[in-house]
Amino acid sequence: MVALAVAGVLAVFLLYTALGGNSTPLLQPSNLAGHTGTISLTGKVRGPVNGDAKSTGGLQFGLHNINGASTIVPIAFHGSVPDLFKVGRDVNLTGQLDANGTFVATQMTTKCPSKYTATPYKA
Amino acid sequence: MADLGRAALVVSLGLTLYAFIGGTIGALQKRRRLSDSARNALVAAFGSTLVAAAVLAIALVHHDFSFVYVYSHTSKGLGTIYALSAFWGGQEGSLLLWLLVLSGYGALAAVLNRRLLRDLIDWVVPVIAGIASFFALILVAVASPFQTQVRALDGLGLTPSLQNPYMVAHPPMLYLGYVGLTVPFAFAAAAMLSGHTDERWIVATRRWTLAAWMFLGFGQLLGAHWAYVEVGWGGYYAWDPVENAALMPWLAATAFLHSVMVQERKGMLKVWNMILVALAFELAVFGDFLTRSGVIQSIHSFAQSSIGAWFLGFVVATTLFSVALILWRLPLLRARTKLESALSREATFLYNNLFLVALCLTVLWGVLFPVLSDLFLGQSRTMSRPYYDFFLRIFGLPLLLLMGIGPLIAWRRASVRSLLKTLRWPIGVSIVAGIGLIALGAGSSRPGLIAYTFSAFVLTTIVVELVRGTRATGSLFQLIGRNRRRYGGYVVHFAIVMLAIGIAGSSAYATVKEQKLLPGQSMTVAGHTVTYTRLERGRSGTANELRAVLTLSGREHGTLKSGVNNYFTGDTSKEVGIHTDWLRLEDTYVIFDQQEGKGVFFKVLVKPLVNMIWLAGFVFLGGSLVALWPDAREQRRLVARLALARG
Repeated sequence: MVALAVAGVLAVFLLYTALGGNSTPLLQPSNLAGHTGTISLTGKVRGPVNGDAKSTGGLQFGLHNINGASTIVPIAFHGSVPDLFKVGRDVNLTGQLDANGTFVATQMTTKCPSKYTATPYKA
Repeated sequence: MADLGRAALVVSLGLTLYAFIGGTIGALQKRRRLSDSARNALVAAFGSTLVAAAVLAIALVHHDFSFVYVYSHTSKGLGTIYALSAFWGGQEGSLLLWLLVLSGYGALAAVLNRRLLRDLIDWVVPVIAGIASFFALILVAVASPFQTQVRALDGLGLTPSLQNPYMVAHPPMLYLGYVGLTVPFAFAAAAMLSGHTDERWIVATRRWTLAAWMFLGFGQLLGAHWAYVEVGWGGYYAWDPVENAALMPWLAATAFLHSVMVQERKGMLKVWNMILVALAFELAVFGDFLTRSGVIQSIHSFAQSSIGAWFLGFVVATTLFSVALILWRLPLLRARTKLESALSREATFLYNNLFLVALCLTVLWGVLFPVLSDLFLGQSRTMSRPYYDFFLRIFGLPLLLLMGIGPLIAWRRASVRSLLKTLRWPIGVSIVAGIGLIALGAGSSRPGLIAYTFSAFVLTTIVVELVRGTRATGSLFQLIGRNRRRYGGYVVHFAIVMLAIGIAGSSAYATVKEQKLLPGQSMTVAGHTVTYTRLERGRSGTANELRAVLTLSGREHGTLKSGVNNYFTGDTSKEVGIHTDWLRLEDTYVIFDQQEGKGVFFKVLVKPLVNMIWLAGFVFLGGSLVALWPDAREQRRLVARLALARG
């Protein structure tokens, strides 16, 4: 009972901490509009890919929802481009929406290669 | 061939269903022959699953592209070992591996314990068979690895970064760990179903839990090292939901391995142990659900599929089953004795358990937060790295300290005076170490300084214990041989201290610098001067290779190469350059970030003591094996407990 009581207190503490901060909105391109502050944006890369991640304008490409078509959000990425970055792949970006509607990202991760299926099964 | 595989899986499903239903009836009605028959069916199910696995393995090795699975995960140019590793590279193959390991473990556990734990085994068989039936059903009806197509000329291939020896070993290690946790869970459930809730199930499954825990722990370290040397971002753990999915059951199993000692010795924490073993099992299955459902966005998730609903149903059903069993058997799970003092070994184990479970629940909370926040706050939110790092420090540092106190404090009751006397050496050494570290500049990171000081404390307790024991027995080897469980545990504690030092050093005291360099230009990072000398172009059988050659001077001297491979398949892969200073266990890690004209953007990380983490993996493995080694005394203890249980 002692253990459960302490675990309960910890759970409340956790809940408080979680609601109090340390979390970032997890969005897809379709529900990005109007959000301010740091955002975690997940979507599928859409071409064309222009520029480079070290230039002032950054690496520029589009992003739409993973499942199906949606609004395409213009992305400007500054930082290290992961190996698996490519048009058509799922990525997660961390950054902010600027006044022009461009999502300016500074971190990017791509889906783990172990689970990536390049082409759907051909039955 | 595919027909044989399909047929073998149908047979496995039939046999596991029979073992589940027949075994349940046999155990309920105490029909010994029916229970024996169910046990044999479980053994036979392993045989038929082995046939299915052999069919898939042969198809992979022979590049039989009439199998959709082989086509999707291999190609002609792939070597045999990597072709075989595609067995666990995809959803269907990994499910087959899960069933193979589960039926193998189940059959072995049932056969090995059939005489000594007859009353429990009659229930263990239907519990394991019930779980195996679920996986067999999924493989037969939802995600078959034996789907066929018109034979293709070549397959889609395996991503280059997975063509790495680590990826041959890392996933199966994790599966051996995840699935292994089913065995103690099945024994715990059997103890409650049979009403024989004495400590025999714990004694009988200690090695199973330890083995599963060892595989899960070592498997995670292998994955971390793969990420470090191959993925090329300079880190080894990203708190990704699927990485966390392996960490959570490991933490729960760690708590369980400690708390069972209290139950064995004092007859306490019986309900707690049942909860922990169920939690470890449920978290292992939950991890499978996470990877396969697509419910939580993770860089490791398999493609979103309908399989997630099946797993969710299974997690809910087995959780309800576990909760109902514990509530039903609460009267049988009352403790024989009570906690006498907050300053005792059993109390220390309890604190250790609370911190471990709190850390585990913290991670679970972070993993589930996107789903829960979406449900209750109307917006999905994700927990970022600072959240996990904060709780790792809050719960991890006290855990480190308890690791030193626990083995030295007396059972039942200890006084502050006796404890201080016992701990005088560790306290003295840690104070001196702390002052020395501040003098050396380690005070720049408070968590790092605390981690190092606590590590010095724990290391001293281990040394004190070993010296004291060796003096008594006359030989260190004799000492370890006499109580492998205890001293194997110390070796594992030593590994955890190494891990803590490695993590603290490589995160709290790391230095990172990014700069564009032209040939002949240098940058200085943490006392190292890195000079970019030239660019080399080469070609292998699979890729065009670009390498920047860099020289290292200053604290260390050497040459390293960092670059990028452009594979003919269209994939690219960054190849990092790592220079290891084995004296300091420090790495200089160079990432070829981007080429621009004649210049290259390099990211250089200096990571002190990072190699301590990888060395800790081997020490961890060694300690676990010492604790796992067969022990005649333990077998005698089991026989004695059996006699006691029979009255």
